[in-house]
Amino acid sequence: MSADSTGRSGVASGTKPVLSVKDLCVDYYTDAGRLRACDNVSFNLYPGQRLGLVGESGSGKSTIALALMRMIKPPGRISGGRVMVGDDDLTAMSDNEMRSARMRLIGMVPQAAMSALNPVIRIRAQIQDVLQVHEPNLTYSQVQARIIEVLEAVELRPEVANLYPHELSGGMKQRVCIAIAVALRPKVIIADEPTSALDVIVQRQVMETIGRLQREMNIAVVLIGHDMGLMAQFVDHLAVMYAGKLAEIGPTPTLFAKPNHPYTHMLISSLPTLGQKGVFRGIPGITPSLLALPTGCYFRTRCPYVMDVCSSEAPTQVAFDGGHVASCHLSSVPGGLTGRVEAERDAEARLNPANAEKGTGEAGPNKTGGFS
Amino acid sequence: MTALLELRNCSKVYKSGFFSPKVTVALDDFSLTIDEANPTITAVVGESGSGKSTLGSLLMGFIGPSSGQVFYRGKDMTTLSGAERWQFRQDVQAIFQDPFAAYNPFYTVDHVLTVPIRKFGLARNKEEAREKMGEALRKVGLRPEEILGRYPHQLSGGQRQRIIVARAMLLKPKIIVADEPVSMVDASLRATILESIYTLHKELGVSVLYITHDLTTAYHVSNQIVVLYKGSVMEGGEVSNVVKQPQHPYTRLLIDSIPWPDVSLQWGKEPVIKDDGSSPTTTTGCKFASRCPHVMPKCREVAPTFFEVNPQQASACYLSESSPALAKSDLQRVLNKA
Repeated sequence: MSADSTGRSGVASGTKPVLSVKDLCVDYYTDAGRLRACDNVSFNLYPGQRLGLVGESGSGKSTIALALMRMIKPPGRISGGRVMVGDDDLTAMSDNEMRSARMRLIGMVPQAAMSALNPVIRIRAQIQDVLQVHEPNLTYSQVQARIIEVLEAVELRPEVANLYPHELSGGMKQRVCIAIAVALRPKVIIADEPTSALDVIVQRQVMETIGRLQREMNIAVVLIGHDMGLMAQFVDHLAVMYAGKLAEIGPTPTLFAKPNHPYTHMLISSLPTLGQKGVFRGIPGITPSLLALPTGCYFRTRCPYVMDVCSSEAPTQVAFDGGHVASCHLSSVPGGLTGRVEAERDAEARLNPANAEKGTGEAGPNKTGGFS
Repeated sequence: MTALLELRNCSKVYKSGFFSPKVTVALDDFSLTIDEANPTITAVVGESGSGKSTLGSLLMGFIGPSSGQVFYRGKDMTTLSGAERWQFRQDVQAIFQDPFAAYNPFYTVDHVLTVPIRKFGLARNKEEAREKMGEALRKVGLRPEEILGRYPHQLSGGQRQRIIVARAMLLKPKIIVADEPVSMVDASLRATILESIYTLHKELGVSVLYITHDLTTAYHVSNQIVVLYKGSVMEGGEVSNVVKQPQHPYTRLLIDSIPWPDVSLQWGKEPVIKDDGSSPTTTTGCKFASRCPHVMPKCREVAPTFFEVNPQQASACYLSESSPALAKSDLQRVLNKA
């Protein structure tokens, strides 16, 4: 079964995916037993598309990022499935072939820009490194020209090349990491929480840069993170991970308007908006340990809509319109998740009529008329 | 009545370099009063480098001001006696950003709870100490039997941060300084941590200084808000007013940069103007002038004073010039109305 998203507008049906992940499994072999951090994950990414991969800590999203780069280290291992970039099968490559494909076909913007750069080497040498290894035929002046070119592409002054990482701000360091990731013009970039350590304004600027490069170079982007707000504003497709499995995948507007997995719904409503003040809707409980997963559906221990069938059977993926796929038993219940959520809201409204009116509708400053 | 903790015209200046020191004003002539009688949650918002953590460190007595004074129960912090300092350490508690770095990995998490109990003599015997720990953990929504005896690496970031909240509460403080308490926690867990801080404020009457760069959580948690930029207050007042009707261009930029979890809202309509360095922190003009889309020539010469946009909101911007001007010391009055 695959979570394909070919039903979207904009991509002709004949277009080949630039990144195709099929039944990818990653296992970690620990003293306490084998645990599956990535369980039969499949998705397709088309040229110029932006896919978001969300989930809480420990949901396997960073494992997928590493698996796509084939950088899983022992005791971890890719134990099944295939990763194709264009026509190249990354999982079938030898280590040497993979070394040449990494950064050239598939680039990565790491999570901690602070520690991703070598503190005792100038920025110039760190970018040069990538270029020289992958394109040994370039002359010195060509390499220097390329360094300036990529720095300018990420909106940094060429003089930054002569600085050391500690002389740069957090946002600038992250830009250098982006410059390195796009230096060889890969087809796909994986950005693993690229802005988690940055404040809101810098985050916006960095994301704007990634978005601009994605459009200009027609790169496909996989954005990994846990902030649904950032996802709503940046990606056009969204995959929600829970305990190593894909809970739901589909076009972002559809997922936000009509989520078909309770976890997606809870992730969205856990974010504060400018609606009712002082209302907190966290997701109770914690992600289960991958060594002691519950039977049936992994989310049932935290799910507010749990049914009898959830503990006995694992849900299968159900396809909805427009490439929207979810794994939840509620999909086979009349009304589905939407019905349950609406019933709950009605019940709340009966108990507390004043709150319910205020609570819905208001979302951002634009709707409250704050801006002139 | 004397205030519990007061910053009076505090500035903090950092100098780097020996021969021609580069001067950075981290906090510029800042005053804030935290009253014991009416506990509040005050949010201090700004981007990295705005001086918000410097403010937190000043309040906790980690650093002293370059000029101005910090008062604790009406006494200058530098003149506190040993016993008073001890009392100060109990009254003012901190919650830090990084729930990973706050623990010593060699000890079980009980350690962060038993040390304050022992140091401040909160319990007479082991049973009582255990009871107190359990009670504190339950207050922040944790089950003691799942937490006690575990090592930090066995717990999630959200759990660890909540234990830190529990530790702060154990001492029955008057003020909690929370410096970015949720920025390193998963978005889905932020709500639960903020909720526990909020209920503690409600139930125990603790004042909270909530330092953050996230205006949405500030809006939900706090009563009053102070927006800092390069060490100066740009805007302040009642939180709904400031967040929903921001008057200062910097506050507008901050709000415009929030990625809303709503696909119909477009992110970042106002372009971010890059700082060209023409308004250093030592400028006499408005510090935001070099990034302001509405900059006027006079902004670069004299920094605007506060203008009382409405009784609960003041903005330091010439765009609000039509409103009555306020002295700098009147900001606290506006905040108190919130």
